[in-house]
Amino acid sequence: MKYILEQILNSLAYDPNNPLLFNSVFFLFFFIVVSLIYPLVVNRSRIRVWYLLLVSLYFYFKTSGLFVLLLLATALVNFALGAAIYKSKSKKGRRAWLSLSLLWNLGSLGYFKYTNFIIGTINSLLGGNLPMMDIFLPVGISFFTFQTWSYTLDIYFGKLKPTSSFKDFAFFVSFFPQLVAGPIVRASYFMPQIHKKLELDEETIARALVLIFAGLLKKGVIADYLSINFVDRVFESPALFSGAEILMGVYAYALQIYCDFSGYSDIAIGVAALLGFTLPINFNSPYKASNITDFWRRWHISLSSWLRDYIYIPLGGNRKGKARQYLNLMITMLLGGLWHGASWNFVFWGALHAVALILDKAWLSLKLAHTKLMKILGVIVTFHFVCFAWIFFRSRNFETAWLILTRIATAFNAPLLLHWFNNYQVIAFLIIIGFLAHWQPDSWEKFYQNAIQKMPWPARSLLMAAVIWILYQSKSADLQPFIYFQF
Amino acid sequence: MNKDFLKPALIFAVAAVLTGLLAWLLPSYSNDLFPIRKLPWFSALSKPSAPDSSRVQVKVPRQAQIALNPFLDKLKAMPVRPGELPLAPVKKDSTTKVAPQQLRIAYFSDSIIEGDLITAPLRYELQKRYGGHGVGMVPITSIVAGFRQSIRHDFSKNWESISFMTPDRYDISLGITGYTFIPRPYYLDSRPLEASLADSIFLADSLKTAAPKVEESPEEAYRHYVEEDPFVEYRAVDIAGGADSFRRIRLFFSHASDSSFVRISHDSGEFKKLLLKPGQELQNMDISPSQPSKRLRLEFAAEDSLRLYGVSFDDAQGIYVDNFPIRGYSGMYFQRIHKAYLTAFNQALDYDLIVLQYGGNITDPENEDYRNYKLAMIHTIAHLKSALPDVPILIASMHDRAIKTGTQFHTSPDIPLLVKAQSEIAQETDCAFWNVYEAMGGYDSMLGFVNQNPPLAGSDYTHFTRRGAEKIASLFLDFLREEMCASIDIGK
Repeated sequence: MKYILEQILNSLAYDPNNPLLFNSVFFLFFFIVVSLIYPLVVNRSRIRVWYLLLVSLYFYFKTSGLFVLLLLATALVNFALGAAIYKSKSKKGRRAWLSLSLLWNLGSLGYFKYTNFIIGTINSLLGGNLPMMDIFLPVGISFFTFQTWSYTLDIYFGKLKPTSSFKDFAFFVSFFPQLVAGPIVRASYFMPQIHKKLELDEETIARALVLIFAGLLKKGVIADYLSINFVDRVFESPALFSGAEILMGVYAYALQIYCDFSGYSDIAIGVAALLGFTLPINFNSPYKASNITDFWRRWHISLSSWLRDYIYIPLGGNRKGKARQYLNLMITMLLGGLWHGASWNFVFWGALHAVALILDKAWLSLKLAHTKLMKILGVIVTFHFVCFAWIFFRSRNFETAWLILTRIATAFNAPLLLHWFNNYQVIAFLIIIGFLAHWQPDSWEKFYQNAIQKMPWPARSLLMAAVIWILYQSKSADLQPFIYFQF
Repeated sequence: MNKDFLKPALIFAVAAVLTGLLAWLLPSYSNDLFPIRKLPWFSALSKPSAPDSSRVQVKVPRQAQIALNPFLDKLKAMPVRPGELPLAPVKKDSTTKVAPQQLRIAYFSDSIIEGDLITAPLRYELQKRYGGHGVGMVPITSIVAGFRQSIRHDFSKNWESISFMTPDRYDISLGITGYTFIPRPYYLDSRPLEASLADSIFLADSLKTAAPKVEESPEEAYRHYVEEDPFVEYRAVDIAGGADSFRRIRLFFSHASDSSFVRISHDSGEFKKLLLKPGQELQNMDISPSQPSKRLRLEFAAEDSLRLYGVSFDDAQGIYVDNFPIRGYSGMYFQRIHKAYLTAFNQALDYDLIVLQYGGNITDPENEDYRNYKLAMIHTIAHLKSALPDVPILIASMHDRAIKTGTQFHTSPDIPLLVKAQSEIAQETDCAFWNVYEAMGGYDSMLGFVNQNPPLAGSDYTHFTRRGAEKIASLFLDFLREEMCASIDIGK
């Protein structure tokens, strides 16, 4: 008993080597405890906000340790600046306050995320040898910075009135389901829910469970298994693989990054729903897109709409002529690329998508583009373009990306594919199942939801238990050994 | 209290209990494709027993590396380049008469040195101190040519390559690179390597038991005929471990007929056609350019009895480290390089040390007994020694390798046993021994390698990254340095 207590106490502390993930056992028990107490406070909104705020701050502490102070500082600065922008009578004054918020948000994001990138770029451009700095990137900083920033921006654009309660604002910023990996929730979307009377009906529970189960399987089974057993190796040393294997690796990565990212968002949306809050949908079967414009309406929607509303439109959007529109698109996508990580690869990835978006505008103006056949072809072409761009997104540097492309082009070795399927049966199975699940009709989701809704609740628990058991099987599976091909 | 909001808590809490039930009910099920494991749910709460210490530590006594002394003596006597320091601060031994002009190391291993990993940084460090110009012996084709950075290596598809991993063709001797290349008018489809089959054949040979039958592969069906003549092209690369140009170049071959020839072009210049010396014996032909060149292209006839082994890039002075990776190879059957060939290669290349770094293709977490491996290794080392009686052999042990235990990674339980077996092989065959496992840090050190940023090993917890290979090379130099110092003490 003493041992168990010790273990529990130990597990409550911050452990940099074990960040708190939704697909961890710790999170299961964390959520059980949180949701057991929640019914007692849910009807009294003041206590509810305090309760969820403290729980969320603990969640972030468990994930990132003392960076929880940075989270609070960012919230406080944006809260104060939001009020200042609102109170300021003159345009000049509002601008000044907004610049200050820009400075703080870009400054903190820039320091933690881009310092070494800038140093590295300077070194390679000027041949200098400035030392890299040892900076630890706080988890989720890109997400919560954009989230708080939308608050001051909305106030500046006159879309939102500032809140008078810092507690409410801090709760909006730190609400644990979406804190570390999105969706990026806007203040205007979330703040009105804070003091609303919350309700939880059967339909919501069923929908939330579908999202949570699907999210866990996407993240814990497909994404994690594919990455460690196949994708990482291909992108680490593509020269060791034939073009055919690399192409499989690229497809697998397309599936992995989708499952990773959307799986996490799905769980966030589901967990928030069980607490009575609505978060916006973040991924809508992106590989069903029939053109790139469509893709960006389906992929990481909360980010793309953020970029649209706070960069593209303020730059002038499409209101200042074609040339300016293309330039605006390019700027938006380059910054969007850079948001994903501090490397020129991400910038290039953004540029690729920008060019595709520009070409797309021309293509979509043709009547031909809207025929049924073209739409089907469009899905295939769009998917492959997105995969092509992922190569740059995932590769450590341009050299690796180039090597991947040349090996696919010059050392394809098609007969190996058969052997590949034979030797990587589990991987192949996951890729096929993953894409089939992705391309299933949207209406099927409703079907799962209805099925769960009709279930007695112990059956739902059993389903959850089965998902946990499957997650364990995937997590404890032996590493797939390297298959050596002689070629 | 809002009872609606109690539902999620109930669903999840009951799920936690039911998971325990499932964990208890669902048995483990072993199969090759996807083994099912018992989920430790409530049992995870009980205190785990400490890992068996015999499984964690290798009880390998430090061995006196007498076998290494001839090599260390030469290394100590090697002239150091101006402005550089020797590997270890040693006084010139008065007993050494003449300083050697050249030292050469044959570094045999498996996929962990593919792409000149480990050997390139080693070559760089040694050549920096003692001179030397060139990457040493390079095969004709290589599955990892694109991965290797120290030389650019291109070749046509139509070469048949026979290696330790080829389950038949036992009558054809391999070259020192572990490969024999035959020019062909066709190429074959790629196949997955069946390492275990190759192992069992030659293990059976070593142990004098019945060998498993090899199915004749319907090779004809996989042939694709091509028009072009087989060629190979090398380009010098001026990076650490490489060389900016080719100086002395030697081509190794045998089984030339009266009409066998090679067409040679240096620096994309005109081709010169040379006849090859006929006969079954190993030949080496000096094809050095008159001026140091950056590019070499060799072309052969597609229909020829010729067997090629590789090209050596070096110079008369300095240290050379030959990179000999054989993917999937356990190290157990060097008999496939026939004795006469081994001796002939050594006459031309004059090796001063052979490193055998193996284990990655024999390790098996469930194995508790490496006796057969030991017997086969002793057998194969005897073969090497009989052909190369004066060349010291260094056995480098298996490195740390982690596997999943539950959901966490730990050193595979057999690694300490394997390392111990390897140390015994060294002792019983009078070879020197380098404990790579301990040098890395012993138990669970692979975890540190994988978790470094940037990582020193891949996510398979087995193969090193380029950076990790540099680390292993520097550990090897540390080992040599220590032994150089230790042998001075003994000498006193």
